[in-house]
Amino acid sequence: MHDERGLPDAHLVARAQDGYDEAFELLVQRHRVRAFRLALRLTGNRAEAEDVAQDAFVQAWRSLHRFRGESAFTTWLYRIVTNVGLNRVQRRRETPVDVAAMDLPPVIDGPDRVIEANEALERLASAVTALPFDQRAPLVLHALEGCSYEEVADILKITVPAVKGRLHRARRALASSLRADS
Amino acid sequence: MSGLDLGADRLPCGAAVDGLLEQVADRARPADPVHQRDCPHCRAALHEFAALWEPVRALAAAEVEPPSDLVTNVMLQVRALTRDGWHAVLAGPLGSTRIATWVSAVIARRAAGRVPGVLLSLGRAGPMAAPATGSLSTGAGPSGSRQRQARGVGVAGGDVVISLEVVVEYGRDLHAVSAAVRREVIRYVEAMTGLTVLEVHVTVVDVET
Repeated sequence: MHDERGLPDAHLVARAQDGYDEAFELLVQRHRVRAFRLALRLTGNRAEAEDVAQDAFVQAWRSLHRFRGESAFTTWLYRIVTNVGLNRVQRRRETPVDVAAMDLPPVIDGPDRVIEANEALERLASAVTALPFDQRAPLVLHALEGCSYEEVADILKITVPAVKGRLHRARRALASSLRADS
Repeated sequence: MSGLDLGADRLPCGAAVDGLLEQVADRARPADPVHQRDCPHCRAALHEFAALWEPVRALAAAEVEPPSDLVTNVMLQVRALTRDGWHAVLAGPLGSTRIATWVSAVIARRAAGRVPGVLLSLGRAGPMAAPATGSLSTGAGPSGSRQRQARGVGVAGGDVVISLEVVVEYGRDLHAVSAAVRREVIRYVEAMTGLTVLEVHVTVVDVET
């Protein structure tokens, strides 16, 4: 499928709202990595992340007529992924995290350093999913996805001071659990 | 021993722990650079937290590859939502053949993409699909019932109407390109589906170099 060049998100959204599902397909194509990565960081395992990302996109299609372009399409999509992720986490009520199914970076370094680095990332990923969701979501969006405080506030529909407060708690909690592990 | 007391609000020197954590995590400017430069408490805390935070940067930078069938699975569900009942039907002596209308749209898009000067195309097909106009977007949305009525859902028989949006290379004769698109779309859709293409609406949405 053609992409990247040309048509901005807003145009594709408008066409998708007109019923061109192919325009929506281009949007899914364009944002699939972003949506899946957020879902993965929020849920901690690939199988669940796949469900979350899929449900989120289908939900986006269903509620596309309510999207008014007040924020960027990515912000809106992030919000849907986060909400679907939250629903799922609430439904399953903290089953153990499947570390083996976690996504780890490809092997590029010498074997010893890679194992060391992967272990650190595994510990971190499970420490992130151990955070309460109201801390986990802002932490993932800000520290891992690179959203600004304002964007996180927009995505989560909370105020910027609330984002900062939750990030403070999340950083402390994460630092103590990483320290306890090391 | 540890310079970073995560249970306290402030270090013994009075610096706010949250401020130091934020400074490291966001690579932000220190609140009090003069104090920090010489304060052993601050320096120890910053040093320790920087080490603890390192994996977070690595995780943020780690590449994630979504499942290869993610887009396909999403679009199957999307099309199931949109296109229920949307089939062109060709009756034959041994039974009828139903072709989901979006199949025609895909064929049309690919056919249009082959025309020199066409950089990008989006296809939409339906039994009575109207050309893209603003009035459609004021309906209830892609899954809304009003819009379905507006586009005429129902038994399609062997006829199909196709709408295409194209982006054309700058400098081309737009009428000539549109005519070529129309010709190719009719040729491919009719050859591959056996349906009769009643109309092909082409909208040039942009020109690019």
